[in-house]
Amino acid sequence: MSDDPVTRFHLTYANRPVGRLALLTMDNGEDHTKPNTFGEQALASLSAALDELEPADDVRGLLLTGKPFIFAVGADLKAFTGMDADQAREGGRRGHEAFARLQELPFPTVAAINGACIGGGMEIALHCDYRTLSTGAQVLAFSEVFLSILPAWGGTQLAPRVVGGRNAVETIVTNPLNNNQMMKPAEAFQRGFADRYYDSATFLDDSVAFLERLIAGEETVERAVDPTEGLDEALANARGMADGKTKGATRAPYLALELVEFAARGGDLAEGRVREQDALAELLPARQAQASIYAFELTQQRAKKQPWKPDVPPRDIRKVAVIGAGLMGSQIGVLHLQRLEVPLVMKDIDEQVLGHAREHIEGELDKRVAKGRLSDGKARFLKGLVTYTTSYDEVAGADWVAEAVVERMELKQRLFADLEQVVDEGAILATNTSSLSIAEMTADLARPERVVGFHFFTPVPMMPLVEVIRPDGVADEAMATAFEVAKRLRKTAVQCADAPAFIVNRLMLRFNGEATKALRYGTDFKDIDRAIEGLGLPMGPFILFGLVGLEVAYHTGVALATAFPDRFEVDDNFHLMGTSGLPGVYDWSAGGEVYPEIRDNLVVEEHAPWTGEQIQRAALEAVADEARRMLDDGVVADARDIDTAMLLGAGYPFFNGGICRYLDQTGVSHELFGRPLVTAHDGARD
Amino acid sequence: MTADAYYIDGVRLPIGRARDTGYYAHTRADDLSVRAIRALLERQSSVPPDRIDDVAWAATAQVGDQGLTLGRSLAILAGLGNQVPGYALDRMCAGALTAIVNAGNAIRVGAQDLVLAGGVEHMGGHPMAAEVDPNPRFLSDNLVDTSALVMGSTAENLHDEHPDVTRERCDEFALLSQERTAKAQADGVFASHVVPVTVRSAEGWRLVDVDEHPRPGTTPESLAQLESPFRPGGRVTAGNSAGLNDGAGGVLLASGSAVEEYGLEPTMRLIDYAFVGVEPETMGYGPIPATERLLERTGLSIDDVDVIEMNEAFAVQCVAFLDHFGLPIDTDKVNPYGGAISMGHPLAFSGARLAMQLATYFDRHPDARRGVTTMCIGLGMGAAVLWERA
Repeated sequence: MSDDPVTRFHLTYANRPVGRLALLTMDNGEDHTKPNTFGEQALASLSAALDELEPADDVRGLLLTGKPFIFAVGADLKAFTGMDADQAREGGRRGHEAFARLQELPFPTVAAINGACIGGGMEIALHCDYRTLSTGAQVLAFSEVFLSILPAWGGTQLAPRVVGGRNAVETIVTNPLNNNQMMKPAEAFQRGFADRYYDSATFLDDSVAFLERLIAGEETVERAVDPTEGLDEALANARGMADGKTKGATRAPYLALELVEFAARGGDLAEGRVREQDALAELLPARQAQASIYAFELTQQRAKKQPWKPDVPPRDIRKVAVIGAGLMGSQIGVLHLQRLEVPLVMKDIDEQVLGHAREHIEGELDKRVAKGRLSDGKARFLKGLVTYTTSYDEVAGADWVAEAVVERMELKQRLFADLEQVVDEGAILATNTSSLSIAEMTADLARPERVVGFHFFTPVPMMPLVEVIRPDGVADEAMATAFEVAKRLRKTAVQCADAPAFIVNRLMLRFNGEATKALRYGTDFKDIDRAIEGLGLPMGPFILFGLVGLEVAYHTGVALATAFPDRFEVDDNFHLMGTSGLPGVYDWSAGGEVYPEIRDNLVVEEHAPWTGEQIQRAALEAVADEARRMLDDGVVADARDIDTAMLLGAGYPFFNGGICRYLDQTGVSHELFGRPLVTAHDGARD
Repeated sequence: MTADAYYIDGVRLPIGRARDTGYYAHTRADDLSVRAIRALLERQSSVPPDRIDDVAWAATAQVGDQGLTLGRSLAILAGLGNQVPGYALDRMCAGALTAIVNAGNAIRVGAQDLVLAGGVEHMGGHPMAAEVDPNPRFLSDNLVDTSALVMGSTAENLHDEHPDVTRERCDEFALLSQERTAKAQADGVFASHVVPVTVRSAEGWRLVDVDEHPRPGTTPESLAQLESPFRPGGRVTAGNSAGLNDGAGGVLLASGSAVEEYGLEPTMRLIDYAFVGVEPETMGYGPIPATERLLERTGLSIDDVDVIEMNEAFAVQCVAFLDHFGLPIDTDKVNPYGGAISMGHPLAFSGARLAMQLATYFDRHPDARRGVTTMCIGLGMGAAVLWERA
C-alpha cells in the first residue's frame, strides 16, 4: 500500500439557535498540493463519523466540506493498480455503503463544495441533500471515463436525478472524452450541480447560514429536473464521440452511458448501485484502466517533476532569439513571448518571411486580446518586445536562441557558426531539428557543449510535448536551462539522446512504415488506416502523413533509412507519396479518396492483401523491436519516457498507456523478448 | 462648516484567545476582517459595496497577514470592488478608535459619504512587541523608563501613583466585569453585533459564535489567588487585566446624505473627541485627561454623559478613572456589559467593540442621550470620543 496521506473525516459541533449543527471536514493533513483522496482508510473514517452521527438525536443538520482549496478529488488512484474484479467490486460496494449512510441521515445535509471536486468528491457531494458551491472552487469534474473507468460510487445514478440526463451525459462521458475537460464553478452551478453559489470570501459562513435557514424553514430549494429532457440526443452525441475518440477500444464510455440512461429513465437506485459495482469489476482490472492509471501518473506526476533535469541552476533568460521565422519559428517565437515575456528577436534571411512572422505573432496576441485573456496594453507591450531582423547583430545578448530553419545540415552548421560569433559566452543554443545529428551540427563549434536539442511538435501551441535532446558532452547548465524553458513554456519535456529522429518520429515511422509496406501487397489504404485505428490509436498512417505533411514525413523517413538501413526503408510507395508534392494521401475535397497521382502509380509487387490482424501484428512487432533497441542503446533511459512521449507527442491514448505499456500488457514484448519493456517499480511509481 | 457623521452599524467576530488552541489559531487576521466586513455589508444591503468611499483598518503589528495596507487589501479581498480605496493605521490599542474618528472626520468635512472603519489584532500570530525594534535612545537618553514598554509594568506604576486604588478594589472591578459580561451574554446583548464564523482547527472546521475569553466561574477567591507576573508583590494579575486575544470587526459610518439616499438607520452621531499624551510609564492614566479635555471642549460635565464604554486594559486604570470622576466602582454608567478584562483585548480592534457596545446601549436604553468611548494607549496616550443619539 502507498504511504500517501489518509483523508480523515473530522466531526465538530456547534450549538446554534436552530439547534445543534455537525460540521464534517475532509482533510488529509497536507496542503492543497496533496488533495484529499478516498481510499479504504478514508471510507473507514467516514464510517466512524457516521457511527457517531446516526444515533445522535440532537443534531439538526450537517455541513460537509473540505480543506482549503480542496473539497475532494476522488478515489486514490494508486490503490487501483493491479486490482482484480473482486477487489474492484468490493471497493465499489464499500463506497456505496458509506455514501448511502450519509444520504440517509435523518436531518438536512449540505455539501459545501469549497474547492477542487473531482470524481468521488462529486459523488459524496451528490449524496448530500443540498450543495453549495464556492466561486473559488477551481474545477469540478467526473474524470473517471478519461481513465477508462466510470463513476461507481453512485455518480452515474445520482447525477441524472440531480442535474438531468443530458448534463449527466455531458459531464460523465463527453467531457472526459474531450481531453478530460473540467467545469469551472460557474458552469457547474449553471448545470445544477449546486443549489447555491457563494463568493469564496465568506463561502463557508454563507453555507452554514444557508443550512440554518433550511433547518428553520426560512429557505427552500426548488429543483425542476426532468431526467429525460434532451437525453436521447445527448446519448447519441456521446456515443458518436466515443466511437470517434476511442474506436470502441475502451468499454468505459459505453458502460457509463448505459448506467446514466438507466438512472435517467427511472431505474431503481439500489439496482443502479449494483450495476455500477458490476461495471467497475469489469473495467478496473482491464488493460485499459490499468494503462490509464499508469499514463495519468506518468504525464501528471512523473513528467512534471522533470526526473532528468540536472541539479544546477538554469541560465536566467532575459532575451530570446528565434532563428528561422517560418510558420514553426513564428509559433515558437510567440510562445516564448507569451510565456517568458522577454525581448524576442525573430531572425530570418527573408524580409517577406519576417513580415509574415510579424503578422502571425501580432495576430496571435490580438486573438488573446479578443478573448479577453490579455489586456490591450500588455499586448502592445509584448509586440514592442519583438525585433524582426535579417541581421545576426540583433541576436547579440540573447540568453536562449532557438533555431527553426529548414532541415539541412550544412545550413544549420553555418547558422551555429555564425551564432557563435555574436552571442555571449553563456548563451544557451537550441535546435528544433527533428532528425539531424546535433553532434554533426556542432562539430566545428568552439563551444558545442552549450547546444541542446529542443524539438517541438506541430502545431506548437497545441502539442504538449518537447523532446529535449541531450548531446554527448553537453553542459549541465544547458540541459537545466532547456528543461526550465520547457516548464515555463508549459510543455512537458522528455529527455532523449542525440539519435536519429529521437523518440516520437522514430517510433511512429517504424510503426507506420511497417503498416505502409502492406501497400506492396495490394492492401487498400483505408484498410491499413482502419487496422491501425483498430488498436485504439487516433489515426492511421495515411491520415497522419497528410497531417504532418508528406514531405516532412518523407524527410524523416530518409534520415532514418540512412541511419538504420537494416530496418527503415523508403520503399517505392513511400517515395511516391513523399515526393508527390500533394497536401496528403487523401483528397478531402473529393470525398476523401486517394489522390489519383498516388493511387495510379502505386507499386504492387504481389496481390495478396494483408488482413487487419497481419497489419497490426507487423506494426506492433516492428515498434516493439525499435523500442527495445532504443532502451538497449540508451537513447532513452526509461521506457516510461517513451510512453510519456508517445502519449503527449503522438496523441496515443491513455487507455493504451503509450506504446511500451501496451506491448507489455498485450504480451507482444514477452513473446519477442521474454521480458517487459517497462520495468521500473511495477510501472506506475517513480 | 461641518456635516454630521453617523454610526450606522457595526459587526465583530467572537473574540478568541491568543493561543494555539484558541479559536483563530489557524485563521488569518485578514480573513477575519473580511468576514466582519462582508457580514456588515450584508446587513446594510441597501448600500452597494462599491459605493464605500474608504476602508480605514487598524492593526498594531502591520506585518504578515496584518500587513500590505490592510484597508486596501480588505477592499479587494472582501470583493467591494477595485474602485474602493483603503488604508491601514496604527495607534496601538486605539487603532480602530482612531480609524472611526478619521472616518467620521472625512465625512464631517464632506469629503466622503460612506466609510468602513475597524481593526484587527491577531495577538496569537503577532505577540505583543515581537516585531518592533525600539530606538535605543528611548533608554539611553532617559526618554522613558524601561517599564514604559511593558504594559503590565505601567499598570503597576499606576498603582504606585494611586495608593487608594488597591489590589482588592481592582479585583472587585474585575469580578464585576465578568459578571456583567455573563449577564449580557445571557441576555443576548452581543447578538446585535457578533456574527458566527467558521474557522479551521486541528479537528476540522468549527463554527464559533460566542466570545472565548470570559471566565463565568470567576470568584473573589480565585482572583485573590493570582500573583502578578510583572513585579514581586505586584498588584496587576491576569485576573484584573485584559487578556491576550485575537479579534476583528468594524463599523459603517455615513453622511446625512448617504443616510437619506440608502434609507439607513443611524444609531448615533459623532460629536467630538480628544487625544492626549501622558507619561509613558503610567499610560493607563490616559483616559482621565482625555475625557476631561473632551468635556471641556464640549462644555459638558460627566453628569451629562449617560454611558461610558471604557477599555479595560487594566482594572487599576479603570478604578483610577472612576475615582477621578467620583463614580462608584459598580456604577451602571461605565461598562454596563463588562469590558476587556472579561471579553478580551485584541489591541487595535478594541476601539471598534467599544463603539458597537455603545450603539447597542443606545438601542436598549431609549433614554440614553450621550455616550463616551475611552481608552488608554501604549507609550502614554489617552483617547475619548463623544457620541450623541442620532
